[in-house]
Amino acid sequence: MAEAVIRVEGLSKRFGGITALNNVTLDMRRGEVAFIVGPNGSGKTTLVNVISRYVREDAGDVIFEGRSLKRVNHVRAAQMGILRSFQHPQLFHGLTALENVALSLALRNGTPRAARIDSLRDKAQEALETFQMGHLADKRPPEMSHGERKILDIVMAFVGRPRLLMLDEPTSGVSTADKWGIMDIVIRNAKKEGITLLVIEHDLDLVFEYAENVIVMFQGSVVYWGPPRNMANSERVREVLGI
Amino acid sequence: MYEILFFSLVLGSCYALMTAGFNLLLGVARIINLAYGAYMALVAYLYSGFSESMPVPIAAMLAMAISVALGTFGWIILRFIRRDEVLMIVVSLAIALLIEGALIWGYGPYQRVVPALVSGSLGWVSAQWLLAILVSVAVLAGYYIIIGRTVIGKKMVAIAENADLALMMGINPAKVYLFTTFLASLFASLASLMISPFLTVSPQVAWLYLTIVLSVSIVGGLGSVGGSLIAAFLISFAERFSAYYLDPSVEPFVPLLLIILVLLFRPQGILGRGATRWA
Amino acid sequence: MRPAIVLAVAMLALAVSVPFVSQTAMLIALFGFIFSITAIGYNIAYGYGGMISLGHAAFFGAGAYTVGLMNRHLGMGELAVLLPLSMAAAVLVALPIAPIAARLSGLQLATALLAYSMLYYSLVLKLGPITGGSDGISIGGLAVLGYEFPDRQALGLFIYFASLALTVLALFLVKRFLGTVGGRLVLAARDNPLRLEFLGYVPARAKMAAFLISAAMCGLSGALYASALQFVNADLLYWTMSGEILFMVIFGGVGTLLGPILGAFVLSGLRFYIATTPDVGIYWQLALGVIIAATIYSAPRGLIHSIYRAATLIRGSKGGGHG
Repeated sequence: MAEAVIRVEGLSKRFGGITALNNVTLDMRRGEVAFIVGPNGSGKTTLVNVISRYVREDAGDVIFEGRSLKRVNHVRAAQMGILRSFQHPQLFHGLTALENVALSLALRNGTPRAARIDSLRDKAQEALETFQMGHLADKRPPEMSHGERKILDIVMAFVGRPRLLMLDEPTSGVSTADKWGIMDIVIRNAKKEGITLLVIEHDLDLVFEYAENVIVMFQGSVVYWGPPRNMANSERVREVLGI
Repeated sequence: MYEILFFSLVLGSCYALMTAGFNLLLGVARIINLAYGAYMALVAYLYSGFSESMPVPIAAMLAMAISVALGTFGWIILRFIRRDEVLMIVVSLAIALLIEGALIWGYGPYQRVVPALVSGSLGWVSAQWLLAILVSVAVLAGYYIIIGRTVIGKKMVAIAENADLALMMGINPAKVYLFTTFLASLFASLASLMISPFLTVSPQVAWLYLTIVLSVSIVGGLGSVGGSLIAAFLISFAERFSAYYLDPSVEPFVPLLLIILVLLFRPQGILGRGATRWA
Repeated sequence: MRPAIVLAVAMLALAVSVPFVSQTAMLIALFGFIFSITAIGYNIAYGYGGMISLGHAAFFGAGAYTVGLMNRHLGMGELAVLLPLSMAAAVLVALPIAPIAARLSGLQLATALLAYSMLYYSLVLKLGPITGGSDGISIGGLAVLGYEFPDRQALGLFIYFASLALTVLALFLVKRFLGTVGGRLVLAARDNPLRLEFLGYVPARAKMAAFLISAAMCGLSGALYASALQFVNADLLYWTMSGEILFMVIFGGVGTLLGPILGAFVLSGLRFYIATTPDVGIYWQLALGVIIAATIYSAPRGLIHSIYRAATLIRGSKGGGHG
């Protein structure tokens, strides 16, 4: 098996009296699509926060492409190619959708600061088209629907050519019909680009459809880690997820 | 020497009193009030103006009554724009200009004598010094009792910690906010009556008061009660002693330098926590 | 031709002809243009960079005192040297506080800059032998490229056209800057600094750059102001100066291209009226407070937006077209 892109070893984190992560050990190979599921407060977002270096672990280590991230902060991690989206879309509300994407492109490509933002217009438009957002290029986030903002948030992470892309509930607050559309586009593009993808998702139908591996979390611990087809065999998983 | 020490203590307790009102507005009602200094100047002017035609205690009480009524209902206005911190800075600044403009218009741009509330002295300790310390300590002690022991105090703390949660618990915020602006106005007015007789009062004294309040509040840590107590005395002592040992002209630099040093090296202040927690 | 271009050409023609129409009108417009540069500069920090500053008087004053001090101590009167130097001086003064400005926000930021500028105010007052203290410094013998101005008239005319040209240039450069990646980074750092961090960029860098550019423009306008008046004093460094600059931008329209110019003209015009009319000086602060309160109440996005809206109404439903 190829070298793991990301490996976490014995990760633990407590907030006050609450255990958010309890001795979590996982890894992902290049190009893998894995989903994290679990009830609210089970440590899913904390895990993503620790891997993206926004939150520091109490114990354990995060190893990205063979390198420990102990001394790496979230800015440096992003520069190394660990990109993410957010449960609540984090956008630049004074900029158009196109400019939001163009800025992410500019930062990734190291475009000179004196270059005109319009010089990235075509590439940004292309990225928006890929996610069927082309018609929204000149809209600003406040003029967009919640679902559109969520996709824009993902596009911004996507164009940064991530080596590891983490999506925090990409389909929350989106209608059931649109959920499948969004997830389909995301997975298809990730596969095309060979991006390693880690997704937090509540909708188990989506998980069963798209996941190569599933991580089931409960009270900070991993209770299942493996292919989705074996998931329902575990009584513990059925109990935790209520299936 | 003892005189400086004691005077630092006197001014320090006044600083603590005035900052308590500013922090109350900030912590409980989420009001940023840059007109706080101008308001204190207004109190000093009212008192000094009244004292020309009536006995000092009555002038003081009349000034207090007017300014506390003005403040209690006036600062509530700022709550309507509390969603935007920057807008509150601008509006309170405009109010400060209005007050200062009104003072210049009404009393002229000159320096004024603000009479001491009490005359006489015990040796080198003037009676106004003793009064200032006593009032400040008594009021602050009373404030802690209100916060810790009374229902309205507990509601204030609850709102300061989490306004949404407090609302869900059935606390009526309107009353609590009104009580908060009342207390803050009371503290500011009392502090002005205590401290103004020590100073040369002109309309610009507003900015001296504001500088002190801001420096105590920031050095102590925005919203930290314990922190601003320590900072009040720290700044008072630092001012007095740098004036004594270095040069009197360095005194105004002390609070300004402290603000910048603290924001540079410890933006959360002496006792402030990383995340902002109020009251 | 588009109406916006027609309007711009007409305004420019009006501005050029003003000095030949009336001396008073020229003086009002002179300070209007000087403060336009200040307000455009301030708007970069506040409107685009999201940094509320109560300390820009320090940078305005740094520019003004560069002219004053060089003139007093070195007999320097060459504006071709003094103007660039004043920008450099303002940047130098802004440099120590720029990291703070880039990292803090709200009350802490406003207070930090207020305190910082008041340090310079106190310093200028205390260093009387060097700075002239509260008496200020009178400036004489100003020249440009070796040509010494024979009288106030000639000097005023030169400063007028210099300020006009620099205002237009500033406007052009700001518009250009906003179209670049760097300019968009400044806006992004204002809107959502955390997201920039998660894209691998330190937002404080864009903010610092915006802050220093802003300081440089305030320094330049401070130097023009000192040259026009041939006088500087410590009032220029007092916090009310910072407040007035902030109010110009708020009055005109925060984060707009033309709003700051509008605000600068109206407020400096009002100030001119009050300074030249006997017995109204004491109303200045009162008037300023009322104007700002009224603006925030009735036109919170600034006067320029009200004008745009009125223009759109007049032109009917065709609308649009303004940037």
